[in-house]
Amino acid sequence: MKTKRLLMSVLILALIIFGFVLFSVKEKQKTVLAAQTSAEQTSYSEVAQYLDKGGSLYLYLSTEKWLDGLSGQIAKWKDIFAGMPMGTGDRENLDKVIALVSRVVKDSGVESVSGFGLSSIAVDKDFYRTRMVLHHYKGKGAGFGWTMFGRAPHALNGLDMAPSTTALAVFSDFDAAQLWSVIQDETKHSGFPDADKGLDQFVKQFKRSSGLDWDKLLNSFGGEYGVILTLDDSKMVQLPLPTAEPFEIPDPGLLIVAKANDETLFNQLEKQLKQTRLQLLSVNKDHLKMRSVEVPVPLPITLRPSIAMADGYLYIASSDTLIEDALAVKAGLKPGLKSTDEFKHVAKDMPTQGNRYTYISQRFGQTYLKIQQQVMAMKGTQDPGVAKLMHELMNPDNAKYMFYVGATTDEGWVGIGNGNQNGAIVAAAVPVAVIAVGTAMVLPAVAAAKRRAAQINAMHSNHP
Amino acid sequence: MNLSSNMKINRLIAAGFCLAAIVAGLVCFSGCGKKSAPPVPNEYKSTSPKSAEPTSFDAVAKNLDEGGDFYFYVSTEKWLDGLSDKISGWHGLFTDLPMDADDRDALDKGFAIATRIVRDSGIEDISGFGMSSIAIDKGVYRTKSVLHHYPGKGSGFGWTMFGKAPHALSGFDLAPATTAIAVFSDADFGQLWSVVQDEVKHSGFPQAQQFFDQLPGLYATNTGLDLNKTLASLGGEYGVILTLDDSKKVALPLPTATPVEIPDPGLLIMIKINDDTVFNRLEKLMGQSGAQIIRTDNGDLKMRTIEVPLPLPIELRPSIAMAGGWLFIANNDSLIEEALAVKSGSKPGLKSTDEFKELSKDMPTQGNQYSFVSKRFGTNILNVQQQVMAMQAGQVPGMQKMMQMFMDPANAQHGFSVGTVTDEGFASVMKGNQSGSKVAVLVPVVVVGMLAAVAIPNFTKARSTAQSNACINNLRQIDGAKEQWALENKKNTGDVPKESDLAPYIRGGKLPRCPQGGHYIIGAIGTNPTCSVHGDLL
Repeated sequence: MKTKRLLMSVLILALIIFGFVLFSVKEKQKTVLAAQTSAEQTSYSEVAQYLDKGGSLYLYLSTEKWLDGLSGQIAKWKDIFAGMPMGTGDRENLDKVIALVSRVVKDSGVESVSGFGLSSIAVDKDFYRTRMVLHHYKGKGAGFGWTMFGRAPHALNGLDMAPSTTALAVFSDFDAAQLWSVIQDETKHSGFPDADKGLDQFVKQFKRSSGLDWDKLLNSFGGEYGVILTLDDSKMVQLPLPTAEPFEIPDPGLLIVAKANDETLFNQLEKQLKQTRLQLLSVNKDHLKMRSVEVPVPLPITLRPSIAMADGYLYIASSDTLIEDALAVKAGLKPGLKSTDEFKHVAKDMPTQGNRYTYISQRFGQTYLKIQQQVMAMKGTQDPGVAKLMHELMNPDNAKYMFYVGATTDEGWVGIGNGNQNGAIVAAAVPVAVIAVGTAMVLPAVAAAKRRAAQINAMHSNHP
Repeated sequence: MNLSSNMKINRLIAAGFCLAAIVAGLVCFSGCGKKSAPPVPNEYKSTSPKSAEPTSFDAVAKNLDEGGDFYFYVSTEKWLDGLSDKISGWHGLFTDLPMDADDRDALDKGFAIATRIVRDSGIEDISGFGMSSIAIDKGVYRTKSVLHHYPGKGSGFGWTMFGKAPHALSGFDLAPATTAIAVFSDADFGQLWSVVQDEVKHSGFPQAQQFFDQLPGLYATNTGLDLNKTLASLGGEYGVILTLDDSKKVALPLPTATPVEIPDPGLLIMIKINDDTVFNRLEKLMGQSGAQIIRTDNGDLKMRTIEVPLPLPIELRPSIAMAGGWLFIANNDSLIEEALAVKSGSKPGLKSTDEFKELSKDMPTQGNQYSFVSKRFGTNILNVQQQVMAMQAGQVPGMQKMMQMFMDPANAQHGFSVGTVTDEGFASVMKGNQSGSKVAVLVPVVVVGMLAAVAIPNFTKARSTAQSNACINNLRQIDGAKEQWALENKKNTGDVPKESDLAPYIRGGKLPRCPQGGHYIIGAIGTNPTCSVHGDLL
């Protein structure tokens, strides 16, 4: 009995203590939260979960206050212009333009941007992770601006076919058919009958000149596009420039990839190639259809313009070997970009799914800077100080590399980039560069205009 | 039986409690767990990595507010650390440039000064900058900013010149209830002078050294005061107060139809002082001016006022005074008297106003820099603007509407800010009706806008001058051709040549075109040709 009573009282005590601890914890949480709650709604916490704290750069900017109801604000401009003296035709056009802008703003989803976030952190020495967020609240991403560049994230297929010599690869989702329907829709509602007619005429004109139905063409695109630039270090080619020393670069190759739903575009391109009357090489294998143009002139770089269709992708490349290379990499017959040490390093902890992705190899920057240095070296008569500065700025060891993956989520766009670029330095460099470029553009223009004025003045000596 | 039933009941109760405890535990764990557990992991969500390079993020973040409409941190360590060495490095870039020995010497010295100043100022110690803004109430925002250095690194003169230990915001104790703006700051002019002397001594420019050696002498002959004694008499805190008395409107003497009215303005400059050196000197200067001086010597207060004999719309009786360790310079003796009355508690001051109470709530009570801007200040400026606007008749109505929208006195800004020098740099808190995100976005927009405002008219003006000059040239050619045509074809005044008639007499065989798209009206012989855009330029 006694033991049981004891047990019970211990239990009750435990319960009370438990409850007390719990309440005090809750109380504590409340006070901490109270110190941080914003009296106006912001998307800070939604954005912050996609950002890294503790690094060299951290930015969150709420845009709700200015962007919410932006289309209504634009519509108000009409009132501002209402009192201005102008012809009725002009006024009507002005009203239409304001209505159009207001509509586009509303339909695009710009108004639902609730905030922007950016962070950069050193995950290793001289290796930074940069994160970006363009946020809308859940259920608000219906605007065409949000949906046109990809809906659900998917595997980064483009990288599966990138050759190991890839210096640059850019892939992105894009819905061309949606863009066209948005243009049609906005034009129809714009109230400018000429514009509407213009679109119809364009479609007819297109059909007449190409023999292709515009809508059929749009529907043949699979919604994913990419460009790959390769630089083959094992095969240096000499550029035929009028310089004393020969100018060497790695053999370049260019591959454009587009997801295709059918063969409409391939057939069209083939038709046009045939019309050039150049010699065409045809390859028709199980899954591969390829057409290459023999260029009869001897060139230092590998050039056999080719188009191909394989496994739902359309390829346009500077040479057929590049397409074959890409297909071999995809089939696992050849090591590709994904097997290189550089890619493995830069892709560490990166998402495997997304809607847009970019890879820049350090070899790209290095090759570019080496060319610059060669050009510089040829211009012998330069100030040694300037040459030294340029040399420092263009050190190939400092070449940038990065891998970026972005995705469309149910709360906006998010992106992650890995590379040797410190976000804090980029953030500081951007405004400096903008101001410098702006000044560089404005100053000579003003000076030139002034000089011209002075010249003309001089031509008329009797005119002040 | 009884016993066993008792036991049973006890068991039941015990079991019930156990169950209750388990259920309560479960509910709590799942419930609390849901609230505190991180959201569903996703490849894109932050894994909260530790930075591989040191940053001052945490040290800065503890002084900022999270969850508001703006949050910014940037680490400056990577660029600023070793900046003075980098400047020396840039020096190396110039060493190979061809220049004569004097220029090179000046360049070397210039770089040495820049390097030294950068190092001595403590700029290199800035480890990061942070800023945050949060709505603490509807339309009321708290903006915090931090300029951080690591503890133990703040010895540069840039860190120490604007105050050392934070102190009470004593300037507000004197601000009258009619205060529209009050700005106070610590500044150590004695330190500034010694820094200047030191940098000049090390600069290696003998002329500069000479000039600064002479400066104390020059100062003494011009003011009759010893420079070092003056610097020693300054107490290191300065302030300016602008008052606007709504109960007393004055009409501005502007050449307008209806008079523009503003509340009676007053200006009070306050300087903390250690002794009466500056006051005595100012008193002497006043005496030399020949104006009539009213002297008040009332216990702690010494005041000298000049009678201005002219009738003015605003009350102007320039005064200096000294009381309670402050030197006062004001446009009016009653302003000084009011400030002292407020301090002694015999009159309600700024601190008793509702606006100040609301803005200073939960704000620091100590600092090195502090300012207050009343909504009445902005309201008054906007009111004057609107009155002036209303007088400018014949304005485009749309424009007027837009301006009115911008200049609505109801939108006038107000704020209260306190800045503090801490052992980790500068930290400041501002409270007002301005959200930090708006300011953050407006600043670059304003900078770009101003650049454009300067550049574009300059550019278009130069362009249109060039174009109208080119047009004059064209008109001259046409005029010459007309005369030649009349001479060769024996035409008289009043005859009108066609374009094809003149073409043979113009270089290029055809009429020139106006660069601004105008067309030329040739006109009759004896009259000037004109341009449809520029008119008659001859």
